[in-house]
Amino acid sequence: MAAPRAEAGNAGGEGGGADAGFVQIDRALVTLWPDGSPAEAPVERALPHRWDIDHPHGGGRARYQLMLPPVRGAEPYALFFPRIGNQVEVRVGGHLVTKLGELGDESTDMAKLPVLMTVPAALLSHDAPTELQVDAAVQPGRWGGLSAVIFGVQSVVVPMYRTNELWRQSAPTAITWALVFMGLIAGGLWWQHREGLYGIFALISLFGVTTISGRLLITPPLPWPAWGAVGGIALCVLLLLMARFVMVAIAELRPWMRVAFWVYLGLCVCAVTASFLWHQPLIYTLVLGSLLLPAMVMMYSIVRKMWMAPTWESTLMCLAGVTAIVAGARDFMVVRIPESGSMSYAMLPLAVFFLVLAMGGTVVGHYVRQVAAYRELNASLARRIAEREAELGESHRLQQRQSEEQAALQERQRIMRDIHDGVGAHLVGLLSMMKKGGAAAEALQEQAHAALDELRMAVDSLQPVNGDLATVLATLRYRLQPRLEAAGLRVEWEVAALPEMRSLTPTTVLNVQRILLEAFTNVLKHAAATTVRVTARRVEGPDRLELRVQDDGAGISAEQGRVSGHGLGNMRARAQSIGAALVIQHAQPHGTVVELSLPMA
Amino acid sequence: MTAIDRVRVALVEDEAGTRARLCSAVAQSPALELVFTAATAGEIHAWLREGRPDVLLVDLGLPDGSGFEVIEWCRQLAPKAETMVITMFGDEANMIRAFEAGARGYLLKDGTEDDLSRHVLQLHAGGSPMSPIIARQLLTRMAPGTAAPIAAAAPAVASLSPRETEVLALVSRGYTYPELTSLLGVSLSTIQTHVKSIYSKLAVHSKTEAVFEARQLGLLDR
Repeated sequence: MAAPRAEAGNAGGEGGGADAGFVQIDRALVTLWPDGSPAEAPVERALPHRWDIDHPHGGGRARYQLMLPPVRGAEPYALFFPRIGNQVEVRVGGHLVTKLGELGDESTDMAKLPVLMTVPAALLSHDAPTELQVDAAVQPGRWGGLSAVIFGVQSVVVPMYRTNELWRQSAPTAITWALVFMGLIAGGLWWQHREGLYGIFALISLFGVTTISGRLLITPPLPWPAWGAVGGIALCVLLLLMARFVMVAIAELRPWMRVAFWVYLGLCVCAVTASFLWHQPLIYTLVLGSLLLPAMVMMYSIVRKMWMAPTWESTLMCLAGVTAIVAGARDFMVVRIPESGSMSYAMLPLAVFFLVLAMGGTVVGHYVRQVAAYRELNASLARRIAEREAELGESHRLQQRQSEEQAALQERQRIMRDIHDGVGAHLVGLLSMMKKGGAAAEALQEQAHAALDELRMAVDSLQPVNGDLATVLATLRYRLQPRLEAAGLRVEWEVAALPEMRSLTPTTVLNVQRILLEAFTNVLKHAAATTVRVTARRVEGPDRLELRVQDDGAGISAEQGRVSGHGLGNMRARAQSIGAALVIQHAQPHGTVVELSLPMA
Repeated sequence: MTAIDRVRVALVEDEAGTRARLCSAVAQSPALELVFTAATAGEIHAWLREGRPDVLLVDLGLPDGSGFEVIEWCRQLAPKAETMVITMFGDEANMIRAFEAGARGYLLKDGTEDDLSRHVLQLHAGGSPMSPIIARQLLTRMAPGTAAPIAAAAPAVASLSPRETEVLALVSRGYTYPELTSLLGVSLSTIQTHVKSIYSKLAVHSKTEAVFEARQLGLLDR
């Protein structure tokens, strides 16, 4: 067995030397036992060592023998393994210090995370190197093997471990929770709105969490290599989904892209599964490499979008995309080139998740816009409803006005007809009397007066009386008073304050006036009375107004010859037309009473 | 009756036929003296600066509604004169405007011009006529509690007294002034005083309303 050699931090370079408080040991005597084969001869090799490079298609055991330099002082020493796995036993000076997992038990994978262990001072020597022996069991495709080992005083080594741990464990863990949170929100939004963008982002979060937890879990939920296939598939699907998301969110998802997406997805799933099941890591590498194509389409779309219509979202995504590219390039330079040091950690996953976060920002922006759009829609709907209501109100008012106008027109026509029948008839009568000649001046004057009365009444019926029938009576009296006085008739006026009659239309007014005028005229012409008594009052029961014109003249029997003729029939017809009851009868002790009873309603 | 005692009547009427009838009606009355006849508002305005009528008859149907202006001028230029409007039958709305402008009597152009001298003398003696329809309208406009919102919000300087409201209510139901004397237990001259007071308040009322509305509209300082 060749003597293992320890170099004081020469690969790490500047930080090396015992004075710096640590050494990086990057050479070891390596012995490999691939499964199903005899042990290979021990060879001194540079660290880091990856099993998969020597034996990509199968697992096995490996023994790494390193020399720890002599220690100084009393400060406790520690070992820091940036990568060690997959299951290991660590011995210092022949004594078992730590056992990480059971050798050959695939449920543990220590290669995921950095490992720190303190070394009991009793095992170390002050004047001679001490042997460090790492026995590892390795499963293929799992990054098994050993990185360069950091050995030094605890005060120096622990901070180095912490930094490494921060980037490889704490940051991804934080990102995982962020993804879970955003994924739940996006899923909820998708559930509510069924919009593709939310669904895609929810899936991105799901696969992102799967991918990232594949890098974090020392004890995965599935046995190897199934878990490896799941992680690989998750990564491929994640990248495809991200490309699709970008196309949906900021560019246009063309039909051929949809087809390409599903084809690519199917191929990736098959190829990755095959790669892990049959231990052909090259296939997986090729698949990952081919994903450069959708990544480039995605990047092209982002940059083009930002160039043409820069928004904060496209700017953010562009930034994240560029970051991912830079990180990828850096990783390729730093991590994948085995000789470039073992303390490094891959930046690409973090950059990718930064991109995912940027996409989350896009989703939030989309949602905010959507909410704003809904609000605007609501507001405009409310506006339109208000407008519609106003229109309806307007048309209702118009209709009402039209029907009012119609009613007014009908009312006017009735009045006109009445004027024509009344004033017109009297004037025609007057004219024929004058044509015939021989009529007494008195008769002509009476005829003219009658025409004038008709005219006055027609005009009076159009006066505003505010539903007060008493005013109608009063106006009639006001017009007739000179003639009543001239005839020597004493008027006894008993008109009570009458309740407002809403149904008092000009037609009703006109008919009431006509009936009463007829009554007065009869008194003036035929009754030979000295007193006429007019009363108006409200009668309870069926609510109505009762108007009475009573004279103390000859009485109805004496007048009958005249009254029962044309005039009386007219009075009855008019009363009937306004729904009023008319009673004309003999008064006690003598005279006539005309009683008109109008319903209030 | 001497010329000095006769009631000096001036007349403005644009329609020649009516003007002639009115002139002859005035001329026939020994108690009246026709001092001026005008066909336009301009003529009467010029004359009012010099002339001293006791009663001015104004046709409300003058072109452009200038009859109301003539009433205003008369109130300013000849404050002692009473204005009587000559109007069409049934023109109560304009009559109320005329009362607001300062008219105190009215004569209907309906062939009853024979009564002209009686009406003029009555007015000159302090009696203003009031038709039931006008009373009804004034009740609606001026009576407390029934006024329009703006009038209700206006200062109540022009509100009617209870007695005046009573007078208006009875007139609107057809009672004559003589009947009012017995119903209210007051003299005829008291009734006429009430009626005149109502007309004056109508003028004030309309001014108050105008001021109030002007304030509402910000046309006047508060």
